[in-house]
Amino acid sequence: MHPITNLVFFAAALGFSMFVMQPVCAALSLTCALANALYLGGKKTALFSLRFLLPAVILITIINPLINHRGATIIEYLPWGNPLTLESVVFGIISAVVLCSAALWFSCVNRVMTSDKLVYLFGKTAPSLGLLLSVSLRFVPHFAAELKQTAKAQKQLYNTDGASFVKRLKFSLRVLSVMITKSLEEAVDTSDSMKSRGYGLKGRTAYSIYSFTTSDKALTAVMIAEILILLTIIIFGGLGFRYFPSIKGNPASAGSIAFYTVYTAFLLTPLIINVGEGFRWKRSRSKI
Amino acid sequence: MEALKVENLSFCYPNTKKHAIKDISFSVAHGEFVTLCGKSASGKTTLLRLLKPTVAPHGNKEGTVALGGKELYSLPMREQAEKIGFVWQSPDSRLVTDKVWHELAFGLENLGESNDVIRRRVAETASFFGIQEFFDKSVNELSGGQKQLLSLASVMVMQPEILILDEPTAQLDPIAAADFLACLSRINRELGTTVIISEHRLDDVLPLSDRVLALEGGELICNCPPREAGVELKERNNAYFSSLPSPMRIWSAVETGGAPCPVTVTQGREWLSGFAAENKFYELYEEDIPAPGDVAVSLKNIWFRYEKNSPDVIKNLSAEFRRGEIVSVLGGNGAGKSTLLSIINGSNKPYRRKVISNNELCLTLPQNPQLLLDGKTVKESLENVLKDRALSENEITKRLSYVTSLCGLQELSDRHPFDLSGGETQRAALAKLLLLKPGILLLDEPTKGLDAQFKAVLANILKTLAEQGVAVIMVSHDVEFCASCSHRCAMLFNGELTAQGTPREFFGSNMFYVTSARRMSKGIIPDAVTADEVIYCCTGKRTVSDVNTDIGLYDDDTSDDQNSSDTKPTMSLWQRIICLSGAILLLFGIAVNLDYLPFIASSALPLWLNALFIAVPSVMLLITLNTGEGENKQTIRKQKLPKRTKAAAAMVLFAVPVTIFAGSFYLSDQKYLFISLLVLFECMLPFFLIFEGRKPQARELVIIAVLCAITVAGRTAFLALPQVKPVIALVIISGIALGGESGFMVGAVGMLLSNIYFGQGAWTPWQMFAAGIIGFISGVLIKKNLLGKSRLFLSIYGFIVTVAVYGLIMNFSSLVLSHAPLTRESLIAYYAQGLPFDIVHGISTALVLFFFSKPMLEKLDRIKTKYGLYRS
Repeated sequence: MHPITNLVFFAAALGFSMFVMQPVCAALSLTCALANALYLGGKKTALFSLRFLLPAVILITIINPLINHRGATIIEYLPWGNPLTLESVVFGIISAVVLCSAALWFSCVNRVMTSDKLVYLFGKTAPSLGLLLSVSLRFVPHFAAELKQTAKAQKQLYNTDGASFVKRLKFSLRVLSVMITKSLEEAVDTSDSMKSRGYGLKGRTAYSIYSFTTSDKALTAVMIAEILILLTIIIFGGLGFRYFPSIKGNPASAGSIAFYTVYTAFLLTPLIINVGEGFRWKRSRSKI
Repeated sequence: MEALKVENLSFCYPNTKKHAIKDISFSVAHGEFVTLCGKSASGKTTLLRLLKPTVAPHGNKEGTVALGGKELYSLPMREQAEKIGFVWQSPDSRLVTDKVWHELAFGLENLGESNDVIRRRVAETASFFGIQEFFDKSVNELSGGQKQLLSLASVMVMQPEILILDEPTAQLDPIAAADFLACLSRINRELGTTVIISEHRLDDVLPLSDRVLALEGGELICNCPPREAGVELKERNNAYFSSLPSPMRIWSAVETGGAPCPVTVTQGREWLSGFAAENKFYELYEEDIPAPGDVAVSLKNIWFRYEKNSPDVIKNLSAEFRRGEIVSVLGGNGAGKSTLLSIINGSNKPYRRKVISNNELCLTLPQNPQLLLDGKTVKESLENVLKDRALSENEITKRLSYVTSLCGLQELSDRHPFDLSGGETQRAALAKLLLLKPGILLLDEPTKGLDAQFKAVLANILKTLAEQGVAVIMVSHDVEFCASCSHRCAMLFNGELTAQGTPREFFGSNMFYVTSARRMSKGIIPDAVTADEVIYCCTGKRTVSDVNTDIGLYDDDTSDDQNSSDTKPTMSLWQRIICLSGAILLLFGIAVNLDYLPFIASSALPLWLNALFIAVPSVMLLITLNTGEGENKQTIRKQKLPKRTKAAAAMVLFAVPVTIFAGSFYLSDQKYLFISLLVLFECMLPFFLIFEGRKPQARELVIIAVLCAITVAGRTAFLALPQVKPVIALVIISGIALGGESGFMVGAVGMLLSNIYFGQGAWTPWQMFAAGIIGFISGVLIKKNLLGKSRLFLSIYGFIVTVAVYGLIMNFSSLVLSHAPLTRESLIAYYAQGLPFDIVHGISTALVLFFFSKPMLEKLDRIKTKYGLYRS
């Protein structure tokens, strides 16, 4: 998929997941995010992110009602005198779900939006920034490798096994320092190499290997249409739902049901396409 | 018409009287292949750079350079960039982008070509150079040879008329170098591109060349086809002759008649057979191999592999290394040479059998000796090694003066370690190792990038060490060097050592892996392996290798004398008192604000008083520490903030309240998350727009990129100390050294970058903003002279900023992200929960700044003055 299509999808998916606090929508988003994450990263990644998510979820579910005292239905008074309300407990659970699905969506972002897609997106809108990102991305693994080598070389001269914290800190900083000196000197070489290939001339363009194909265009158009429908429903209050002062809203209203349908379709679009493509490939193989 | 015509070109570096280039005239025809040779510091690099104005060194230039009949220096930039391609020595620092395809497209992007044109030219170039196989890869995954091929291709994609190469194969192994040169020759023959190359590997290059230019002391001493160059250089009895290919060297030492000078091995054999028909050879002298001492380290049938399921790298290898012996281990790429060294020095352990050593100290000179150097001068770098060791003053001085004279560092001791040439760097690094008196010295590719003179110096040092009983073991590709200086050679192949023997035994029986003197003389002269030995057999005279130890007058760099007096800032008594009470008050204030003190409830006090508790002591601290700065104060430049920065600040100040107001008004105060995200983007946008709008210079862009990458890669240095996070400290330093805007970019892009590696999340924009704003504040404060550069001051500042700015923003983000209500109570709850982490983070920032800010700022200042960066 083209990076722009990816961007549209993830921006909207994340936006809706984080801002639409209606319980059914939150649950839908969580399920779809989980499905996407499982498809993209397999069981391992999903389990891994859940291990970090669960404590956060529990924490938020507990903390939120403790500090949020709005709501009409009082369950109990907290030891320090503030009320614990049913609304805040429900709201706490829903915010935890929302946060959870946002985190799962982000794990998908990390899988799909590879560094070159990010560089492309930045390069399209802000070429210098895109280049800055690309150059930095080139340096990071290079420096990391260099740091390891430096540490190995310097360890011969300064043995830090079992040394005090400050000594080890000083050693690490020495290693970092050598590496920084070296890379700053090299930076000047790099910039010479840029200049010698015409960097700084007027009218620089940003080349990309991605081409915006017809199917990409169609897909993006469909997504944007879906987003517009969802936004319209929200703006015209079709999703009407509130938590405070008392929980009120009809999750089975016509507007809501329309929203659920389009929302699910939207959130599952990339998954459906990917799975469909897999089938198509298999079928094309079997025909041979 | 000539492609390039140089007339009476002279050049002086600033602040020097000596000419680096003196009155040089020559011309190059279209499609010619010209080799430029000369010793280190003979002005080769200077001359080549002068042929490309964008990278020409600063200094005083006289004379003219004409490209296709037009004065080169008045050509428009675009034409210069297109018509002259430049390929550099080390591909690692010359590749710009992260992907192979992007690197190829980079030059064309700069020329403003359209996507379609770029696509076509990139495709074409990639297939010509055989780059398809790694077209989609990251640059970092490539081998050295592939990288250099890529940098050649990324220049050729711009279709230059002239290609200039500055020692392009110096960092490559022989096989990759041969491939590279073959490709170069193909470009020259098939595309008709004019090539001007400077090169140490004359054995490989001279046969390809149409003409040789030789430089000595900045003057052109030879300008003729290779076969005539031999004659001409012989007549001048040039010291550089030792680096010419063996056939030429032997010919010049032996030939007295009129036979033409051989360039290739085949021509050499032809000539030598002719010589043999008329003359008798002398009996070769005995090999000069000293009796080896006792065993320093022995390996018996060891096996090694890197991972459980990976293949064995070392198989059943046995070897003994004795004191006083120089052993060379040769072998192709990936034969396991470096692995063998790592097993001998103990950093890798064999899984079967053991390495038996006599508890001798075993040190390794890495392939890249720069990694061993630190400090501001060579002398300081050496002295650092012996600090904190139980050694007497006398012993320290003795060792220092010994290694200094052994490695010929007397002249260099006040130079910055990174201003040295390749050979000098290596000797300085070697000296550091020798200070610890190793019993076993390991060298990994010690002759990489060295010219013949430096190699001779190195050989002498190694021989001296061996005489003193050090066991020297080196792995190398350099057949000539191993033949001339080792006592024993061995071939590592398929994980075991095969074919061991003295150089003559070893190379005498080899067919392919052999010196060119041996190739030339095989079957004609028995036993002779090196050029010197062949010469002896022919003339009966032993060439005394006259090593010119004071080589390395590398005056390519203007010496920057920055003897900044390191006076320690002193504080008067009252300043100390105020400072101390400020610190105590600050802690008190924090405690009050967090309700940690039982007798004062912060909720009982008005908000402004709570704020004052923090603000007043902070100001006290800042003021006292700043005035405690003393002498350093003059170095801070008083400058006005640039207009752009002011505009950005104004925009932020305007947009933020409007958003908050509008948001709380229209969204009925419900959507903090939405408002705060909007505010974040509003705050960051002006900075990015400014960066975009002013079209950053190449150097500025790369320096920012380096610092961004360091904030991410820097974590690797602290793997052993997980509690120390250097990021904020680095951002603060960047802001101070490079100004507010660059500080912001380093912080924001650094965070974005680190999240590319460690996972993006909802926190990304907050982190970007928090780190960015810290960089910005630091830059603005230092310009406004509100921030001192003393390390104590900076570390307290770092602590405050980390806790108060970074912590504040990040805790706020977790509050908003969890949709908690924005009340005083919830704020306190979230801040209190985050505070312990913030304090640990703050302390680590403070510690890093305390030990690191001074050297780091010095480094950045050095770069700024050395290369004239950020001069506004």
